[in-house]
Amino acid sequence: MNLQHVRAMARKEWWHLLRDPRSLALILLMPLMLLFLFGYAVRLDISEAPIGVLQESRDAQSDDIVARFDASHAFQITARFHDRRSLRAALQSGQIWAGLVVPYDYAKRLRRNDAALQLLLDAVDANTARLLRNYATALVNDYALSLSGRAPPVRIEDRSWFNETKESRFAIVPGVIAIVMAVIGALMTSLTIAREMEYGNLVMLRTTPLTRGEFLLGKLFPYFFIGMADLLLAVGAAVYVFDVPLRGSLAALTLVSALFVLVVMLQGALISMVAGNQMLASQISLISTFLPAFLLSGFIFAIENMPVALQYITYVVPARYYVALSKLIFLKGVSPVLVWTEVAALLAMLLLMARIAFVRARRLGLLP
Amino acid sequence: MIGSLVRLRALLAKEFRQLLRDPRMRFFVVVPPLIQLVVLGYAASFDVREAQIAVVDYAHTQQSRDLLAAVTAGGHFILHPFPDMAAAADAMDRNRVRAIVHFAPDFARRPVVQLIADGSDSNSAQIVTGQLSQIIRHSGQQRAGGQLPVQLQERAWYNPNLEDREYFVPGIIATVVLVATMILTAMTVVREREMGTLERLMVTPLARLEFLVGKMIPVACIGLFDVVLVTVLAIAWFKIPFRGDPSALLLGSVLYLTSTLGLGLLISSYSSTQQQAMLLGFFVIMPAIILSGFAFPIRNMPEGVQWLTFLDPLRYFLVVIRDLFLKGSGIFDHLFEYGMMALLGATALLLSALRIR
Repeated sequence: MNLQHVRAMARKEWWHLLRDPRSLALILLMPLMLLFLFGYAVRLDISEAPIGVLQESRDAQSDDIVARFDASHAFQITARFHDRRSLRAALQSGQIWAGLVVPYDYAKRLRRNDAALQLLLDAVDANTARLLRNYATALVNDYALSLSGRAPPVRIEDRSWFNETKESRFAIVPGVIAIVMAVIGALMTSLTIAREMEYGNLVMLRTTPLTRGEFLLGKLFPYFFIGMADLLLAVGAAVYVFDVPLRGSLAALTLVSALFVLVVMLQGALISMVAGNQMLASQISLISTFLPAFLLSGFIFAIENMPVALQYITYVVPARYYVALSKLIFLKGVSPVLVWTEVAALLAMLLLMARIAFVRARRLGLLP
Repeated sequence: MIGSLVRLRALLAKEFRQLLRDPRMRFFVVVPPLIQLVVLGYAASFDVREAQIAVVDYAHTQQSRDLLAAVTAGGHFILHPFPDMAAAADAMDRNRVRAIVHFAPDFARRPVVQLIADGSDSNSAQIVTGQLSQIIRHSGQQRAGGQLPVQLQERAWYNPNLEDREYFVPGIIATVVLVATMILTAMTVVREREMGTLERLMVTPLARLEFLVGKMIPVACIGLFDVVLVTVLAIAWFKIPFRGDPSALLLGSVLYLTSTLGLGLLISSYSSTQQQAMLLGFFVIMPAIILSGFAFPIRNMPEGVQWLTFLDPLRYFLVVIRDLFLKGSGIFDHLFEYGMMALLGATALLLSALRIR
């Protein structure tokens, strides 16, 4: 390995990057855009869900329970109906998320301690329906207890650690950093080698004393710096714009991130070499980076709920380890040493990817 | 007119051959959409089915044991007893448990159950505490005897078992098509520019509009093929009920493809190299997925962002395809969505026709 060769290759790649300010701007802007989108737009908690009410008799008791729903933080009554058909139509059109039916004999049955309320949920979005159901059950239960005048047999004190208000933003932003880095890292490198192959530049490189190891190293070197710059931008925005607490150490986060960036960059280089042309490389990286990182990393969908076969697949998604590490360092302030298995997995992936890329680079026809 | 058709046919023949010549590209039209559907169909679930829960029972009363038995009987939770809070907290630090159920020593005198959820995954935290408190409350009341004066009966319409899959699988069809077509369109145009073959096409009698249509039709065919392929798989494999009108799906897909391909062309008009086209494509696709309501309800977004979602064609197609599958709607239920997709597509096409010379 001749360091001068590596430097020459890296310098050439720098020029490529600087000559195309539009691509460079996109690479630097993308993490911020994604962070802002996820940070501001994505909210999984529900407040003021629009519900419709069908109140079949107007008496004090029915009015009371309806007012309770309207006053709660979770629901907002946006429509009142007079028959089931119009309630059904409003649910069908998505105008309301749920319908509350207070039957005509509600007050009478309440006197016999045997009243029933009906909640009709638009369950197309099952998650929202589940959350609404939980809120409504708790609300009706509290109401019923207050009517009966009994002390509740058990009280529940509900707390949440690391994110006291259960605000989804805090849980999401550290994960987003992982998604962003997974996408950017692979994206940056996935076209570079394919481009050389497509243009035929590789043939020219074959006449130089450059070896394949030097070629790979020089190619990836500049992108590593851009990747780390992206990372610091994203961490800065998370802490200063979104007020996500960074409870662990910045050094640990940087170190783990560097490891992850290297893994995804090698993944991109590998895609580049396998595809051989930019169109195919772009297709492969599109479906092998964003979607797995988004869906199989435990970022929003918990891995332990997946079928076992799929859980095994998530082990080869590098973002899986980094999402966990990022959340641990940000929110729990845990040292990565405590969860060394995740770090070890990333390290193993790095070595394996480097090995595969090195072997695969033999086909480029450069010196060994 | 006839000359135009002849030229178009020639261009189409070239485009189809160029796209599908590489066997790996042919593979890419068929296999990844299927894999995406199957993997995502299984992965995408917000529900918490087998949550690991730590239990710290300092009270050791009959009642606390009864409550725990009720939690276990629910089947969704796997309980792990811990001797003290420190050990349980350590387990939560390492992501071993999602929540801690804590009974204080004075539980017999003061019946308070403490539920501590891991807020670093806020959605799961909400669902786990919701389910746990429901079970504990219910079982506590049963022990105390006496029914409460009001009961809530809930009915989940369109998706009675609250299966997340029925919500996500139709959505995946829409995203698969977006991913498969938008960047591909952009790349086919930009490749001609980058390779210099666009110059050569310019000296032919091919008109600008013919060129754009010739570029779009092959990708549109791939897109439609993918819609059919993935829809059949969704019905056959995941058994998602398709209650609506198939012709409405066809119309929706065509309009949706017009808008994704139009956006692809627009991207190509802003990029001079394939790398730029791909980066721009990512720059568009990711917000399009996030803002579409695919996983995150639009109504929860801040109002400014909600306005932004009106520019997202995926948003409209998601409504159409979900309602077609689950609610069984027809063409006339979604005239607004069809109209918006057509409008977005036409605007994008017009802009790119003006820009590509």
